[in-house]
Amino acid sequence: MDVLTVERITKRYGAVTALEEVSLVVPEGVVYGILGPNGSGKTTLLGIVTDALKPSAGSYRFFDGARPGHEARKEMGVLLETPNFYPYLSARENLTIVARIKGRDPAGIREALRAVNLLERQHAPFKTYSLGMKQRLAIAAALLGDPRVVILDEPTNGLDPEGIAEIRELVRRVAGEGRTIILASHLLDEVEKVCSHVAILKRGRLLAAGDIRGVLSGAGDDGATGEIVTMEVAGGDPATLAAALGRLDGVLSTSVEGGAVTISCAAGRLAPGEVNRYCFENDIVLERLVAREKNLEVKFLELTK
Amino acid sequence: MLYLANIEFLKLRRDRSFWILTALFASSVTGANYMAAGLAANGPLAGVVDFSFPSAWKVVSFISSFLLVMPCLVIIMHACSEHVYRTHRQNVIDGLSRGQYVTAKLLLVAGLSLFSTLLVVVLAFALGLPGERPVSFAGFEHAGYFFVQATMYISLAFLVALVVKKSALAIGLFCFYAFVIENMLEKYLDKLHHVGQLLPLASSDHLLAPGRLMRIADMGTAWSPPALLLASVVWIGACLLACYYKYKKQDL
Repeated sequence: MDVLTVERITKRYGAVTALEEVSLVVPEGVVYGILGPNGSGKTTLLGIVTDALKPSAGSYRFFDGARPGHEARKEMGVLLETPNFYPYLSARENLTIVARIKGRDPAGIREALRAVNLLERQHAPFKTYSLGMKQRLAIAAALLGDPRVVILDEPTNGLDPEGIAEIRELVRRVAGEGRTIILASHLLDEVEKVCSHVAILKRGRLLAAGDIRGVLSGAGDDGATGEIVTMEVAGGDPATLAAALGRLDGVLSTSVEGGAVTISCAAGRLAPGEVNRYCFENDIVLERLVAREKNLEVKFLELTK
Repeated sequence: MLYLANIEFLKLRRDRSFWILTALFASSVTGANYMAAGLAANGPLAGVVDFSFPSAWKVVSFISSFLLVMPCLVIIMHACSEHVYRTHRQNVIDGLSRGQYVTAKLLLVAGLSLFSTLLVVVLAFALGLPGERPVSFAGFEHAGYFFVQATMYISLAFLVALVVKKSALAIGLFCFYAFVIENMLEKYLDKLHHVGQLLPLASSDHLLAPGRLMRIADMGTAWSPPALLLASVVWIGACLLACYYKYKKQDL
């Protein structure tokens, strides 16, 4: 069963088109990352599928349309943009409202608060919380009652490095339990570490979507198919090294960063040994040569530039 | 319904401003009626206003109607705070349908109207019982008219809050409409077979004739109570439909 099917959704704000005919399918049990720079339409897309926003055109359905929208949302945990709670109520009282709306057992509130380390402050009013605590409470609300689907929009916003690591671990744990997670983020590293599927948005248009390996091994700018790899090479003067490597057959691009040169080439076209031999033959002794598989960041920049 | 009422109660039970404003309204209505009763007993209103039965129903309903703007402020501030904190949006994201959200608020509108009416009934009893005449329900329909009037005012206030979303602006616009715009419209439209008296607030006001204290021009009531009642009910229905329509169509 597909958890979410989005069909040709468009959202316009006057003359501005925030989303243009976006279609995607989220299968059950995957961690689905929605990537895009700020203003690409990630939150708008999630806002539409959670009924916070109305689409200008197109449609969406959860669980193959088996349940009406609001009933389907009761089976989901959602953190969209900022945490929204009643400031005069405590964490526990706020979660009681969430549990009541979703028809969940309030007994699960304690476990949800414990999972985000807010048990000690559960009776303090929400307005007294720090930004990180508010974010953690929103995550607790999203995880309340073991939802089948968890939708997280920039879940690590406002968290310190320890909190970010905790959320990553939490996402992995929840995904490990077989639940579906839809995660919107502009932090590529975050998505790459936890997601099995990815959709890349830019200015409201969907550039790529699907299994993360499939997206990464898509066609490159040169039209060649197959995976693209990068190598980090250092030795001697970086400018001389970059110029020499630029002449090497198979090298698609070179860039100098710090004291090293990064080259990209089609996978299988150029082996690290060949690069090493080429440099040695051109009187350059390498101090470092690291081959890397193409990562999401490279693909993302390639698609969105 | 019980599900939605329970959710509203969970939100309101610790909302201090809601309870303080509601208590202020109850105190003001009680105080205004007791003050008027005092003036009627041995003051300038002696012989003009009669708090004994059966006129107690009409007099208490009429005096209380001047303060109906207070529960309107309560609903505007509560509805707008849901927008400011974006909790209305979160409620929908968490699983309320948009229709359920509006229904929950309309339950609050009904609750405030019922509370106001109950207060009027209790005060009519409290002020009428010491009078010379025995308890009579002859004019009890005025408490019903007051309920209709309260529902009309509070529904319209909720609609304004839903559209405007900012409490200060919503309160200003509501008061401007209630005390200026509708009075002007009523005066103008009264030249056309008194249709001005069928306007949203005017129709329910005229049910409790002789009209509001703040009405600029009180021209008497030209329509029968059933006609005014029908107009009020139609306006209330239109107001509620507008609330549903607006909330179902807008981005949250």
